[in-house]
Amino acid sequence: MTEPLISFNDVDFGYGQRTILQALCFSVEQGELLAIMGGSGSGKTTILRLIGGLVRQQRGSIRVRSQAMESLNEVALRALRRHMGMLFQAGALFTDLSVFENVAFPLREHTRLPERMIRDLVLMKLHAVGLHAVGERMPSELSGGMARRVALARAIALDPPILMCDEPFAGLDPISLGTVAGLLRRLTKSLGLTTLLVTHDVEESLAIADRIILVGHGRIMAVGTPQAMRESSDPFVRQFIDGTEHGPVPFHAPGPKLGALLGLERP
Amino acid sequence: MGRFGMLGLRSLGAWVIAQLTQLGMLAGFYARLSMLFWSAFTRPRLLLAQLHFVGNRSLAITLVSGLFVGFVLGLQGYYTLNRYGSEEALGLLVALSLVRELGPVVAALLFAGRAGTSLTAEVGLMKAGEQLDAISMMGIDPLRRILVPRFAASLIAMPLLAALFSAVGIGGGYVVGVVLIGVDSGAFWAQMQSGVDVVHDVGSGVLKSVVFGWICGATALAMGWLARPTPEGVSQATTRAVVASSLTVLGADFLLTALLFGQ
Repeated sequence: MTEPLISFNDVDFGYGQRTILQALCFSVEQGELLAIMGGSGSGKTTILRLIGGLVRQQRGSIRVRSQAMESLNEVALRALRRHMGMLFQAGALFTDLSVFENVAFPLREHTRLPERMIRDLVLMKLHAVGLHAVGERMPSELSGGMARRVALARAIALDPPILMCDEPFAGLDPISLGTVAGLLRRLTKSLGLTTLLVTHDVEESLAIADRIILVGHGRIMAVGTPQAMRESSDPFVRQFIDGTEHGPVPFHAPGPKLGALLGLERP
Repeated sequence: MGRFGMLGLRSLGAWVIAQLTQLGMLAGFYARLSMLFWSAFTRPRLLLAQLHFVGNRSLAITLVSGLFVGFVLGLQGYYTLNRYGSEEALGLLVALSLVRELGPVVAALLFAGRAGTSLTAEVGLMKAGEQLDAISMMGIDPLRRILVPRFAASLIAMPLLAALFSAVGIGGGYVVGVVLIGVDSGAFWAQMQSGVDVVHDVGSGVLKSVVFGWICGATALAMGWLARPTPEGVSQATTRAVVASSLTVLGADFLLTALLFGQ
């Protein structure tokens, strides 16, 4: 039996006294497209940051490509990260570089390819996200959705075996959304990538993911295929899939009632 | 000890630990930055771009300030020396003041205000915009790729800016003393030539400006690197960078002067 590409074993993470994730256990197989879903602040992005080694867990073990993250030094971590591409929530484009130079950045840093080849590769990556015509623009001249597409092109510039996308569909118009979702599915299946998506887009995730993880209250609340999720009778899953206010996940942040704050009722 | 006493002691302890942690982080940061200094020369294009950014863009303010400081030195120096009938020593006074003290110190203070704030804000905003995390996730060390070229550029630019400040200042002193007031031109230059020791005076000034370049560059980058990743955090870090750099430069100047010129 082969080892999963990524595995979390009893992982706890928090900031100071605040616990974000606790006793997290799951694994991701090679070539899988996994969607991580959950409410705002449920720790979805933190899972990606833990895999990338940007933050370290307080307890438990995380293994990526057969390496225990907690035992890696800076040099080994950098070497491992060369096998990862990450699309950040806000894009994280370099604001002093053009769109073209942003996508060329990892190629220039990690390869000694001739300029002509870098140009061709960058144009191909930009074409994949529908933006080969805006290479000369600066990031400040792009819409939020376009910036995120450029960031996706940059994340796949080196064809990394592991691709992590934080909210890749946020701010995209329906055409771009469908195209980017199709691109992620195609990249995963044709190039054999392993893709992790953090997203709120239920429909798109159900359409392209192989498996979905639902995170809530710092734990994994449900895991399953899109089909299993659709058919689930679990109240947590149903509330998330149907997008209803009433259910185990409260819409309002915990705290005193509005009536008490307005002085209309006793606390 | 009462309950309030214990609480006070606990707060004091927490504050001391926080300060020591911060100090340790700063020391580690400065040490890594200094150790990686030479690696900046393996990427000459990055270094040149940063030299242009921190050096060339600080040139105008440095030259203009140097000129006015030279004017004032020429004027004040003449009034003082004239009382003792030794106005021919004006060139020496202007040159020594600038080369030993004012050149390195004022250029460093201007550098901290002009280039230092830019460096802090740039690095702080890169942190707030997750750009440093993005670089890390590409398997690149952001310290080596982003910070070291900026640090090396500060270290190289500072002595050059201080030298230009002193040169323009001497020109300013000449204009006021010789051209406007009428001090003898030959005496102005001859006194300067015989009284300024290249190794002791000019060398000390260069050494000071290298140290100040290290202080200004490292402090500005450290403040940006350790800034809270919010607009307020970056704003506070920028202010802190100017204050910390300026005070450290002035303190270091006193120590260096005592060491270099002490009997």
